[in-house]
Amino acid sequence: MSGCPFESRLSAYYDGELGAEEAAAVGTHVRGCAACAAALRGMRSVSRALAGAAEPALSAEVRARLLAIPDREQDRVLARLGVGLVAAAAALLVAGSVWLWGFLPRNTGAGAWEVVAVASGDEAAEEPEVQMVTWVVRDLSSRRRSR
Amino acid sequence: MQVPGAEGQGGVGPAAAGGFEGLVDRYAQELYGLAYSMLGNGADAEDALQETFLAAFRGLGRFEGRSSLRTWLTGILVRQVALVRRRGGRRAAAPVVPGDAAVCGGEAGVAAKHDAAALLAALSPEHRDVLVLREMRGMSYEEISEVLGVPRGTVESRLHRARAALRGLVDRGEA
Repeated sequence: MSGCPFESRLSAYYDGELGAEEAAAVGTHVRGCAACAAALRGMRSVSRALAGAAEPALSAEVRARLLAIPDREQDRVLARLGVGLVAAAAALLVAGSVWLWGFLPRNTGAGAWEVVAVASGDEAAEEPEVQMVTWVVRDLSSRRRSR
Repeated sequence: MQVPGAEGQGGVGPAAAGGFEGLVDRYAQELYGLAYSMLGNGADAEDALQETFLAAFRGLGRFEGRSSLRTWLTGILVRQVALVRRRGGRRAAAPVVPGDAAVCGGEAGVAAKHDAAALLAALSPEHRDVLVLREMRGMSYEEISEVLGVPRGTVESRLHRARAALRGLVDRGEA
């Protein structure tokens, strides 16, 4: 680094990135400044050295891997879609089960007269109302006996 | 397979015309060379390239055409190169000394290539990237600024420092 005030603009000058007016000013300066002229020569040397940089050819195998990206991505998307569908189906199944649960007969705590009725074995013999009264009477009787 | 979103992007060239294969055929070699120059070895460059095209495939639908497709892809590559470096890479760039006859061999062209790799390896990643984009890809300061995500003034100062750092090495190699 020479400390010359124009030095910081030399790269932009060398790369043609300055406006016309500034480029002309830097050009005029460089012709009279040995340090900046040497710096510009150095830039050209660096450019020449880098111009021979090795860039190996892309192998057919790597190219094939790149070309396979769309198919792999499609598989990935389908796999994710599949997982989503399975999850949705499972959720639907659970929700359906819960919903159906509400229609199942519940154990509401059968009355003792119903237990007696089931145990008696002569249910079909009488009219429904008569039958029910009979069961209730039997139940009350059995409670009295047990006291 | 057609690149997603490519049909609605009049200016994307091969992506619209030849789908993903067109994109690979047109840009893969150039991007691989760039990754190789930045990372200094083929295995890491292949990783960066693979991730670049994967990201491009996923993101092409969001490409808005504000920059060229080449600049957009190069920006993705630069980010992937940074990720590879962060992971530590598989292998550091070959520490070749400029002008080293044992490495460079007798053929002038081979020597020049090895010297170029050695010069780049001597730079910090941020100086190497800016120099590669300018010297080996001929990108403008504006494009480099966009690709690296830094202000134009930073591009200029990094280039200046990178060239100044290499000048001594080149002079020694040419002596």
